[in-house]
Amino acid sequence: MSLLSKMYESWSWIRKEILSQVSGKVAFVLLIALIVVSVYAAILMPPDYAKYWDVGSKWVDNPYNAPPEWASYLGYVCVPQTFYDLRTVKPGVSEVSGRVVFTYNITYDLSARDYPQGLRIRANIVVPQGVRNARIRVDIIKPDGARLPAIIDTYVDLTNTSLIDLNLDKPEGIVTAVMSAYRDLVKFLSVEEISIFPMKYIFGNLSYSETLKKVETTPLPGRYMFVIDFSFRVFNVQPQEILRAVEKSKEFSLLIKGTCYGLMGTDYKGRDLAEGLFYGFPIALAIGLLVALASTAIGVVAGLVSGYYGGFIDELIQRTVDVMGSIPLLPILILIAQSIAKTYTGEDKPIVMLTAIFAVLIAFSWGGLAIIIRSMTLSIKSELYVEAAKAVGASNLRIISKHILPQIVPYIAASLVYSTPNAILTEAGLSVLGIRHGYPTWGNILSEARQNGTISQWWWILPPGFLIAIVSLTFVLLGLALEKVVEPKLRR
Amino acid sequence: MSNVKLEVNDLRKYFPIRRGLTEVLSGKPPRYVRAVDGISFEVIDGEIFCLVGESGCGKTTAGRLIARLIEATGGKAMYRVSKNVKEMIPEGLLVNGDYVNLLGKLPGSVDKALRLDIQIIFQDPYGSLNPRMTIGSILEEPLIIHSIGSTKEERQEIIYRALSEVKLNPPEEFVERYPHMISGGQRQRVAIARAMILNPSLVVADEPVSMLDVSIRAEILQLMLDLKALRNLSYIFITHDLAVANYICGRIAVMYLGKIVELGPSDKVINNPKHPYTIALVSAVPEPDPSNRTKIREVPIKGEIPSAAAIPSGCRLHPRCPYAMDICKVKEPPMIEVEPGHQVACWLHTKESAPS
Ligand SMILES: Nc1ncnc2c1ncn2[C@@H]1O[C@H](COP(=O)(O)OP(=O)(O)OP(=O)(O)O)[C@@H](O)[C@H]1O
Ligand code: SF4
Ligand SMILES: [Mg+2]
Repeated sequence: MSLLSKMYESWSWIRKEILSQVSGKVAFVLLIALIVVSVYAAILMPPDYAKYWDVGSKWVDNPYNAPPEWASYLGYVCVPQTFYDLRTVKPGVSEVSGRVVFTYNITYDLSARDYPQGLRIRANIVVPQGVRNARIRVDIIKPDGARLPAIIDTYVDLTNTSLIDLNLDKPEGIVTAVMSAYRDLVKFLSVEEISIFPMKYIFGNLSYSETLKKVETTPLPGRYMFVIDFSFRVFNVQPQEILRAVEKSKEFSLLIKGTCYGLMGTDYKGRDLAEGLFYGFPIALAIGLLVALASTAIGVVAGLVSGYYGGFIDELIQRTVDVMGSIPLLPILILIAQSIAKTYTGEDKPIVMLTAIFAVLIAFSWGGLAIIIRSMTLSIKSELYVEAAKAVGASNLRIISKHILPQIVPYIAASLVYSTPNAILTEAGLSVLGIRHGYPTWGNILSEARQNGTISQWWWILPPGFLIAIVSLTFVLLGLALEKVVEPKLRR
Repeated sequence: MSNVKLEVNDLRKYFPIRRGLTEVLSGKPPRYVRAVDGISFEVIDGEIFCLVGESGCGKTTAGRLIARLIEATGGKAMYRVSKNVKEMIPEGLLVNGDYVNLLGKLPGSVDKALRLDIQIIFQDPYGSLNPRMTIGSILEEPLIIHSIGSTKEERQEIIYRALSEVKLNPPEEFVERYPHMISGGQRQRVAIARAMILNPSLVVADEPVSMLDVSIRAEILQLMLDLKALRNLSYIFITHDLAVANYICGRIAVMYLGKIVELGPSDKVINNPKHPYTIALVSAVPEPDPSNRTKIREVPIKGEIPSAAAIPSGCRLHPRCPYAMDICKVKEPPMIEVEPGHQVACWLHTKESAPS
């Protein structure tokens, strides 16, 4: 109780001292924000996020290399992501030559002067007994009146199953559709070029360029009509039953991929950078604090033991510090990372890698503090009041905890604060050097940008760098403020 | 039951000197500072026994040895434990019923028990109080260590009494203060209270007033005398100030370079010093009676005190002694009783028994 109240007392004192300085105030606000965001992200983060982030199939719907949506204000041409849930759309129902046909007419307004990145139809529908087969066909009527027939046309046999499970993101009928829509240009069209950039031909204006001797496309804004025919061969099934099945299905949708995405854009895999950066908070803080806490704890204990007990154990600890100090950290880390990458290929690789990085960072960062704590211990140990405490019968433990520790606590706090950004920066540096664990740390995002991005993708490069800098700044400012508390001489 | 509280025999403390690499390689033997080099004396119950001598002669070291703050190199110190402490000490360690050798290897529980019984007051009241602890918690520490007073209130009570005893009134005002908020004299009173709070029966007082302002020295000395009268105390009083010694001591041992050169009742040692070194010391004391001054200054001693790391052969005073003889350079003089209870180690007084 008295210990708690004492701790609270010294905490409120430290807080007051820190808040009395400008750097302290800024650091305090930043730190609180950092902690709140981290805790929130940690609560929301799915358990196997590393795997999810690295190879997740969740990203396939996103545009890749897309700047954030607000980039349109910076002059970027943004085609927004457009999603149609076809389950909620009432189709026209008809029966043509013994097939039940649902016709969905979807209008899509393209206002930006750019091509959408792709289109995709997805269905996951359990049809009633008696549906023998199904067929999805998509025609597109362009603003210029051209009709692209059957750019998608897929047939599903349902004699042995009642599940329609489709994911159609390649307009495989595009070549013939374009060829038939633009008869006058047929002899100039190249099959390869259409297949490489199908979206240009769907959402573009086609014209023959005399100078280039080939067909050129320019974005064609306007109203597009998607005519989706969903037809079924049935045996004793009412169309209403099928319609109900479609309405109740897991998914039946049309997505037209935009070119801009979300708050922070996407990377080359279409991963939502806002999400990665957000989950990077708790990881950065965890790396920083864990390494700082562990290395500070080891440094303090080693320094205390070394300074207080002296002799052989002192010699041992000091020589260990010397040896660790002369081993270059980076090559060791690269070596370890490489051997882990070879040994562990399975699911536990990210966590093993992260643990190894932690262990090495900790092992190499306690030495400096140990030396400082040792010399402080040595000087306090020889104080007369320590001898006086011995004279009244104080045990070693008591002398360490009541007479030595209280004096080095401020230094411990300062070291904690200073080594936190160190660990974060080192981890980021390692990521950029290619020592990766898979978690979306800011360093990891940066390193992927280095490998797979270009300098023009500022939304991918700047935010992680900025966040690393901000977090480091937070702790450095806090350290500065704390330093003035610890070392009253520095106070103005 | 004997009235000897403490019997010290051939007490020695050698501090090793760090050797350079060349010294180690050339196989030179390790060297030592012989801070205390075989001293023997007794402390009688209720006595104030004084150790006097110049700076560096090993007084503090002797005191720290007896307070068991450092390990002795050799010797024996048989200490008669007081009744309440005796039950905490296993039979096997007791010699002659009540005596324990302070310098032997003692188990932790015995060590702790002896801390109750033997206390020390340090010379420097500025260093001996932890600046980060309040007076209250400084005084509470020994109580907590020895589980005296089961509740905070009880301990508070004891602390208040201890503070009143050293005339720090009102005590509730002092417990909250930090050492830097009180004067040097008050600090030394706190240090005295800390030593007394465990109710010891032997207190080593290492120059307790030498760092205090002259104006308050007498008060503190008087306080110590009062406390001794109040309790059943013996003091080992360390001082380099013969005037203080004259005022307070029962018996005096004069030390020179780690050895006792003269020992006896204080009036005899001060008024009738036999050893050339004591004579020189006494002459250095400002004599209140001007007519005596010339008389006492007739034996000046030459030069500086040598380092305890390079002790002269034979009588360690011989390079400075105006009476030095041949034998003095080669052979150490034995302790000789010149009159009842008055011993001197000097060949001048042992001529007849000295081998020629
Ligand atoms: N811990 C130590 N390590 C090495 N040498 C020491 C140590 N403590 C004392 N000495 C040496 O032992 C000798 C005696 O020191 P001591 O402090 O006992 O003298 P003193 O009589 O108390 O002197 P003063 O009047 O200055 O307090 C000195 O030469 C001193 O340098
Ligand atoms: S023994 Fe010799 S040197 Fe030593 S004090 Fe006596 S006369 Fe002087
Ligand atoms: Mg001394």
